[in-house]
Amino acid sequence: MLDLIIRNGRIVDGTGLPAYRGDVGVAGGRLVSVGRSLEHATAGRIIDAAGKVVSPGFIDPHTHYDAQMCFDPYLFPAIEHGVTSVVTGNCSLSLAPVRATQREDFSAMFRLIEEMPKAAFDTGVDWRWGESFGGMVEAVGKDIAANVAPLVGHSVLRLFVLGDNARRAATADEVARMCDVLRECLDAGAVGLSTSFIDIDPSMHPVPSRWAPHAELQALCAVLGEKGRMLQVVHEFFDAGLTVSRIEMMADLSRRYSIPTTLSPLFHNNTMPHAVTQVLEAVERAWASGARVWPQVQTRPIDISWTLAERSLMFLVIPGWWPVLSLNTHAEKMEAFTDPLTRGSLVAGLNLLADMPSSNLTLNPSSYVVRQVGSDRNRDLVGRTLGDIAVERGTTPSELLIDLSVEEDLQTWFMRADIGHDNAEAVGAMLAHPFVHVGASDGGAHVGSFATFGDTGHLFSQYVRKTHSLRLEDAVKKITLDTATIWGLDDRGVLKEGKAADICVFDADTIDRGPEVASDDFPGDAIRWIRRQVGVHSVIVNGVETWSAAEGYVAGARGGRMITR
Amino acid sequence: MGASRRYVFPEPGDTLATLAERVMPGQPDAAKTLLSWNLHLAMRPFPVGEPGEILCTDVVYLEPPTARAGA
Repeated sequence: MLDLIIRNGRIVDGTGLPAYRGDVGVAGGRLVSVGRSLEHATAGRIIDAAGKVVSPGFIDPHTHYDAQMCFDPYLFPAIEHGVTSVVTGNCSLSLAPVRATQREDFSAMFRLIEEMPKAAFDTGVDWRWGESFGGMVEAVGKDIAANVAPLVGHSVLRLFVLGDNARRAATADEVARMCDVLRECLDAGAVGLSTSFIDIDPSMHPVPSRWAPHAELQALCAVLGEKGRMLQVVHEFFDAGLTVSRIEMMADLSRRYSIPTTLSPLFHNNTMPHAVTQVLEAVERAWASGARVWPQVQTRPIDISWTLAERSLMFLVIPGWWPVLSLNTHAEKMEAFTDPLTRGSLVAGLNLLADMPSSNLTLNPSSYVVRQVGSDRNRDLVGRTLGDIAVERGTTPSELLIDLSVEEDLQTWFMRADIGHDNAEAVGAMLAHPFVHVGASDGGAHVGSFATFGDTGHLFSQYVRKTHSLRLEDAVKKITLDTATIWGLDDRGVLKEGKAADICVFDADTIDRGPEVASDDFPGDAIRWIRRQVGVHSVIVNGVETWSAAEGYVAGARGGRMITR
Repeated sequence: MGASRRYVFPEPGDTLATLAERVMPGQPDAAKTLLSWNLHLAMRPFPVGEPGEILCTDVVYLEPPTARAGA
């Protein structure tokens, strides 16, 4: 008797080969039968998949669930979208190895860069593993519903070895020690190293990874090369020229140390359409030279929501805004927004955006939309642009942003939708490119700015059904076997007998991401934006049915594990 | 694989001036010229320290931007 049979499904096995009709059998967490008729077999659970696609579970290669997985084993709502495996520890930040004395500094850096509310992080991350990477792998792996493939963060590694003063070059001994610690992390199961060339810490200084001489990165890549593990890079994605140079740098590291590399994100921008061409040409040159360089492209357009009650990365580089949004109390913020001098300086800073037509992200304040209001009398403003309302009120969009927020005690939510990466034909062509790695969801991060869930559903609804940029089978392959192959997750990404039973059952005609909605489920009182699934029927992780449309999240389902290589 | 634009990474302790001296020896106004080819260093939203201070991870171009056909 089998544990699970999925009957009469349309099997899209992850290889890109054409779909076919058949049954899938699972026992002991593994696929024991794929395609053969199991009409006469019995099982503890039978799923009727008639009319549905049965595919491998989706793999999300760029996430920041590091914090969320400590207090939410389901990574809600990632799994219901068919995601069964995630890569954590991206962008130089992992929750281990972190010294007990450096937890607050690390936490502040993570919360800033990944936009995680302090209350949620502080309440949810209990550091129950102590300091070591192996301890974290073991502790989290005991209570997780999805598979987690963890990276080690370069900034974290530097803090661990260099101590609090990590804004400097390491000594030769320290580099050797970093290599040893990295080796220990890889031995404990890390799938690679992540580094950042753009992020800043709460003191507005570059994160530790940005202070590393190139020779240090080379030394660490040599360690990655001992085991063929991944180097993940977050690069100057807003500058095509610098992106090309980083690709060349990564190609050199890839060839020199025989490692795969990936950079994220890569966006399409209507104001600079040639930039993507330039970058993809560099990627093609890298591959032609024998290197492995995978640019990650997300499926969803960029949109951002914010309230002036919280700081948002959107305001990071707008003159005058960041210090005000970083003020500790609500009262201090209100005082700043109502102070004529500060208000004038904030308005001037925001007005600069209106005159930047060639900006990589078009952020003209007149296009901001009122998303949610704090008082009934303003309800008719919801859905209207600041430009439209400003004309009506005889003011400017920048002034209106502040005045409306103050009027509503900073409870107003604003949104800028489709800032970029919204040209469906162009993005579809990128996603279909053979060297493009579909990913960069940022799952679990930027929780108050945008929903990072449902990119997989959007891949099918937008780029399979609407633009026809990819065949169904190719889209599945992009987020299953391709991802598993790129990252060396040999046991996953394909429906094949003997492989881990990570499975998604979905309706190819309806799978999608739901609308972006506010959720107050995180610890603390901050809200986050999420999207629920559409068109997914069942999600199985290592043979354990973890979510189904009929029953929702299965209580106690803990089929996930740390994917240690 | 041919680089599309030549660049180097600074060594520990480098400033734009010391790097310019090394990569453009004897050239008058080398630091200014180098900066003009690397506006991303001049325009960064969060300076890394004193003026002219650079990071070892900075891409520092050794030549001006190349014109791109059709761009």
